[in-house]
Order: sequence, then structure tokens, then C-alpha cells
Amino acid sequence: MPYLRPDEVLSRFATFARRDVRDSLDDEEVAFMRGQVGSMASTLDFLAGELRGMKPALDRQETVLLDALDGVESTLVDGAINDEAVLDAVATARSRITDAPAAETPETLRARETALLDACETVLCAIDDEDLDEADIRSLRRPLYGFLDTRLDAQLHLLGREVTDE
Amino acid sequence: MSDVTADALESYLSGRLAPDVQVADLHAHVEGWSRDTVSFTARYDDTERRLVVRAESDAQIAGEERAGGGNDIQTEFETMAAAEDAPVPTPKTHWFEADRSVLGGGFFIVDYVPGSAPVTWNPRQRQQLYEAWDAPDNTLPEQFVDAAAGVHEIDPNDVDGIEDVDATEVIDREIDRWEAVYREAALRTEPAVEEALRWFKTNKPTVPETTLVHGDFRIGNMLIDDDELTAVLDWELARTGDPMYDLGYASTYYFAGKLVDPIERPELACSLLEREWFYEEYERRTGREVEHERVRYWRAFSAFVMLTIGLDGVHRYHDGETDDVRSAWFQYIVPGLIEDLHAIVRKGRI
Repeated sequence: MPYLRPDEVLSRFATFARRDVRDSLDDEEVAFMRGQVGSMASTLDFLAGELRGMKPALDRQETVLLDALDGVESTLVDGAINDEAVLDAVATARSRITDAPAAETPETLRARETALLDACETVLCAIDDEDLDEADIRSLRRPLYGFLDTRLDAQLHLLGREVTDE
Repeated sequence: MSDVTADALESYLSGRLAPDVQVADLHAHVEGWSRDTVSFTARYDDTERRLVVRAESDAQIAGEERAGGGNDIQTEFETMAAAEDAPVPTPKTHWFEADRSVLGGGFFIVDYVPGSAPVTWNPRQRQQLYEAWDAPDNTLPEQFVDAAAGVHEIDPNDVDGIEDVDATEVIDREIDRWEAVYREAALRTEPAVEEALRWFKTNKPTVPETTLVHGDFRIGNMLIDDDELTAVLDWELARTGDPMYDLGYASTYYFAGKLVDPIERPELACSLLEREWFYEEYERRTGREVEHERVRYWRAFSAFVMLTIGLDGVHRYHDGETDDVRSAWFQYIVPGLIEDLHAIVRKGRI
């Protein structure tokens, strides 16, 4: 919309809801409403953070996942693990990412995020379904845990956790 | 809300306490999610008593189950009644009423117990719990362990409505139950959770015995009055289970107060007592060995249960079943819980 940045508006609403609205509801009779306003303020803050950081966070996750898929392939080759099903799953995962819409609107952003999650799960499932040595299974999973870690770090950062290791 | 009014309570209690009983000073306790809870004063003859009525919520009356299917209100009443005979501080139970025409929902009445339930997500209240641990006499931590040991003295067969489950079936039952809720609630695939589910299924510990478990055993479900634990509340998730479940559940970072950032003293279960001390004291009181790996399993599982309950609220909000703001907010507990879950699960996967 034309004038105000939505993330800033949400942040200001959060502050107003917390400081002006919730704190004025100090009567025992409206304790429920005070709790609701507190949750609303907190939600508005988180939504503001999501608006600011979702796109770069998703771009980063996509890069890491594509690298992870390469990593799974390399592990198969380097470890001479002959498993067509996992190889096929990696190809399927790449297609899911390629076919997902570009992340430009809130809808396509969510669709792309879902595609990344489905892609990762496709490969993790395939690894689990195969009758491989335990050591091979673990080494195949490991690159994908890099994606899980990146996703989790991004989520916690969007929720306000300070990034300490970059 | 059910129709808990002074008039309705007077009418109900007139046949039980005294014909001319007067009810006043109603106070709704809005902290909980599941039942409607109201304390009130009943005056009759020369007597004045503070009581609490706990009634089915509108959602329960409408037949909308809580995530994971909490026990019905009669079973909750029966469980509390059984707990009175065990060394567990619980409010004295009085009457159960199934007739929904009385207060708009089934309900029971118990004695009022003074105290308040600590909110570990509140830094100030968390600090008070730290101080209780740092106090030389350890009164509150000792009472917390006593309560855990006391709960596990209750024979589930003594509680009407609690299903008996063989020890060999306990883990499968928990996985089946909560995975079904998760599948229903999740709005999209989350590989980190799927990995945890696969780990739960391939790393089941052996459960040697069952007891009654509280199912929601944490400091936030207990009343504290002047540094004394006065009551264990919220028994609706009680079931037959592995007693280590309650220890694992109480040991999660989430119930110590973590949402996004790590808490100040992560070594304290419920921000109240060191985990190792908790387990040692529990062993000393019960003679039951605390298998750390089993407790860790349930600790991870409890994180999964909590994120599932959170997602169930999110799902309801998404579907328009509720406008409760907390249900939308609940999505934000999930990443922190996944972090805790994977701190345990990861080693078994990569």
C-alpha cells in the first residue's frame, strides 16, 4: 500500500497495544482481555519481523538446501553408495524447488517455503526407506541437517533471537 | 463460558450445604485453556467457605476435543479424588455433577486452596523460582519432588475412567495418539518434526512398569503460597503411563520458561530445581531407578507434544474455529521447541 511500511505499522501497533491498551486493563474482571491484548501485541511484533526478514531468510534456506542436495549426491558418489532411490529423490527435490513460483508475493513466498520443506522431506524419507549401512545413512542425512539448522536459525532470528555466529 | 452464576450455585448447593446458602465473591480464573474455573464464597448458618467450581467449557460441551483428547470432566474429578488418598497436595473434592442443565456444562466443586501458579515465561516469576532453589532449605524443590513421587503412588486402576495400559504398549500408545493429533493439526510438512517422529519410533526405550502419570506435571500447574506448594492442579491429561514421562515433561526448557531465547538457568527443571538433583531425590523417595535416557526420550517427546498442542491451536485459528489470539500466537512457540527436540534427537540421526 502506498505510504507506510507495513512492518513499521505493525511494530507501532504492537507497542501501542502493549503499553497503552494492555496496561490500562488492570481490573481483575478484564484479565482475559489483558491476556488477549498481550498476545496480540506479541503477535504483531513477530509479524513485523516476518515481513522484514522472510524473503532474505527464504533465499538463504534455498541456497543451503540446493547445496545440501549437491552434498547428498556427492556423498553417494564419494562413498560409492549405489542407491538409485535416493538419487531419484534428489532429482525430485530439485524439480520441486525449480518448479516453485518465484518468491514475490506473500502467497508465492509461502508456496516456495512449502516447496523447500517438501523437497527436504522427500530426500530424508528416501534415505530412511533404503536398506543402507547406518554410517551411510547418517552421512547422507548430514547435509540436509545443514538446511534444518539454517531454517531453525532463521526462524529464531525472525522471532528476535540475536545472531551470534556470523 | 458455562453459566456459572451465584444464583445457579446457590440453587445447586442449597440441597448440599444448607437451604439458605448464599453465594458471593465469584472470581473467574482465566489462566487455563480447557475448563472454566470460578472460585466463590458460600455462606450458610455461621459458616463461610471458599470453594472452586470447574466446569466444561463451551468447546467441550460442543464436543470439540482438546488436542490429544484430555480426559472428560468426571474422570478429572475422579483422578483428583484418588489423589486425595495419595501424598499429593490437592484440593479436597466435594461434588461432581453431570447434568448440564445446572450450570450449562458438567462440573465439579472442590475446596479453594490459597496460592498462585507460577508463570515461568514471566522473568520476574522465574526469578522467584530461582530464589527458591537457591534458598538453603530447598523447601519448594523438595515439595515438587514429593509431589512427583506422590502422583506415581496412585494406582490407575483405582480411578474410574482411566484406561489400563500394559507397560509394553505405553510408548506406542503415546506415539499413535500424538502423531494423530500432529497430522491433523500441521498445516504443512516440517522435516525437522518428521525426523523426530522417525527417531521416536526407532529409539523406543523399554518401559518396565506403569503408574498413573499426571500428564501435565510442571510448576505452572501447581499453586504456591508463601513458598509452600499447596496444590497440584489440572489433572485432565492424567493417564496410565511411564512415570518417567512426568519427569521428562517437567524437565523441558519450555516449561522452565524458554520461548525463543535460552533462559538464564537452563540447568533448572521448571526453573526450580536442578535436573540431576530432581532425579536423585526422586529415586531416593521412590526407590525407582531414573533411567536418564528414558527421561531424555520423554523430554524430547514432551517438546513434540507441546508443539503439537500449539499447532492444534494454530490449525483452529486457521480454520476459523476460534478467534482466541493465543491460538494464532502459538505458532511462535514451535521453533524453540524444535530446537530443544533436535538437541536430543540429532545425535541419533546424524
